[in-house]
Amino acid sequence: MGIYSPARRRLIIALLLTSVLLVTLDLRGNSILDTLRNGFQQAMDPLESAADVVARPVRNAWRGITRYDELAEENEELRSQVEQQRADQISARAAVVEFQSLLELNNLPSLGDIPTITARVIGETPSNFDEVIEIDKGGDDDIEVGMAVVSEGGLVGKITKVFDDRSYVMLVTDEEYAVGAKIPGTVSDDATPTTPAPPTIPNAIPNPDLTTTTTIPPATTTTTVPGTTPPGQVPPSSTPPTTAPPTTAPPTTVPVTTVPESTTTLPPSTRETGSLQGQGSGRPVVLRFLEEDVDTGRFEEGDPVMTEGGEGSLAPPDIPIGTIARVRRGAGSAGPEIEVELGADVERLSFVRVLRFKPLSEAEGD
Amino acid sequence: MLFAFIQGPLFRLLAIGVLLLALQNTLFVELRPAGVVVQVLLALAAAAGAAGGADRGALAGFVLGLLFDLGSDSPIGASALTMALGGIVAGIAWSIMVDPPWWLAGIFTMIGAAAGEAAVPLVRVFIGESVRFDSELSTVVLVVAVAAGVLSPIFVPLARWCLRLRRAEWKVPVA
Repeated sequence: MGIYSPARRRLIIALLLTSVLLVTLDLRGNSILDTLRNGFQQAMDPLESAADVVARPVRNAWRGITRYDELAEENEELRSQVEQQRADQISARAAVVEFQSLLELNNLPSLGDIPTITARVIGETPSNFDEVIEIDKGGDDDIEVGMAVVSEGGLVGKITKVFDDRSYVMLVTDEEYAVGAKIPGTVSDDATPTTPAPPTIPNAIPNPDLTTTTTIPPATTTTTVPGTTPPGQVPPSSTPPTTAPPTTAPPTTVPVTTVPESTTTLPPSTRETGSLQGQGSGRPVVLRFLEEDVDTGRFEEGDPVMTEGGEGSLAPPDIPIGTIARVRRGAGSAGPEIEVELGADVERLSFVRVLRFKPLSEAEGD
Repeated sequence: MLFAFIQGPLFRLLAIGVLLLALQNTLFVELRPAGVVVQVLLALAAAAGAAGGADRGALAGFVLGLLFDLGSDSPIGASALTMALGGIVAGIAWSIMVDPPWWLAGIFTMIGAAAGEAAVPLVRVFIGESVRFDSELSTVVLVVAVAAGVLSPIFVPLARWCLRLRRAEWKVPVA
């Protein structure tokens, strides 16, 4: 920079220092800068709308060129999925109704109790290092920083910045995003033989369905009393057959109430919790800090992943996040690292719902 | 004074910057070669450096970066810093040869844009955000640089117009 005068060098240094100062002020929270940003974005609105109209043909042409094959394949795949999901939807709907009824019976809160605000996605970040979208609802609609955002497919992200008529949503794929997550009802098929016997409850309640009538013929017979074996299992060889004593009486019909000695094996009602973190654009989100042990069973691909909730969590519990796509089991003690395939297609969001949910820790402070 | 402002380089830079920002937020967020968002404001800042030197590149980068920060979710000043760095680097490259041909100005623009985009994760780390430094970062920097090089035949003359640079000034930087 020898060819520059000291004045020019000072200008360069002053600009760089001003930038650093502005970053510091903005990160510490400055109402003037927030107002400036809000005003600037409102002023940019009509210009962006005009640019959107002008850019649409170019954008559509680009999509046509770059995504034609992808869209054709996706269309075919979706058709088959729709057929399959029609059947699933019916049974799922029944299960949801049943679940809601149970929650109501037990006075438990459910996601349906949380008011939501539907918002349209009006933009996305122009940066290569953020995963942020912009929605058309803001402080005027009582949206607050931290509220969870969902779509039909599940969790989408959280509100990070609120203006009067718009908000920014950090997507779950952003590297700065983290939320408590759980894998509910993990059950292992192959864990039983190598583990201690799971808890069993003797089915001691007489079951009328199992009351049988045995007709004892007049002759000397040997009757084996059924009902001691759970269905689908081979009768234990140690059970001796019950031998009726010889009798010469006329044939009589004796009602016999059988108390089955069968045992009911309950699946382990456990859940595993961990921390879900984004990894950036194009990468799967990762669930960490889980413990995979013999009591909880092993995680399998396709297992559902949901928000954990809890006092400090900004997201309410039981929002579907996605399913396990891959389990990476390391040699260390950190536990497995689980890649989660998101239920929501965060790359192509048009509408989202903001859950007006406040965690207990914040609600108490109101 | 208002007339002087309107006639001055800052007004032109702001006007062009706002137009480019609108296109950035509507068009270029969709056109993603190799999945990377082309940074047109950074390309203009680097082109300003390649056209007028490090100080003008820094000034253009600062102004355009502020516009970018105001129009997005990034901390105000972060992009101003990185784009100013991009303009400075392009300007330093420019200083090795005054009045470069268009293709060399394009290379300077590429270098400046690459430096500016590479500085983004560094600034993010500096302000406490977590950023992954991996092969994808090099792809991002490469695509942004190449796009800036492709746009340079348009952006270098545009930057000269914005900064009101005259032919005599291109050749010998005024001390």
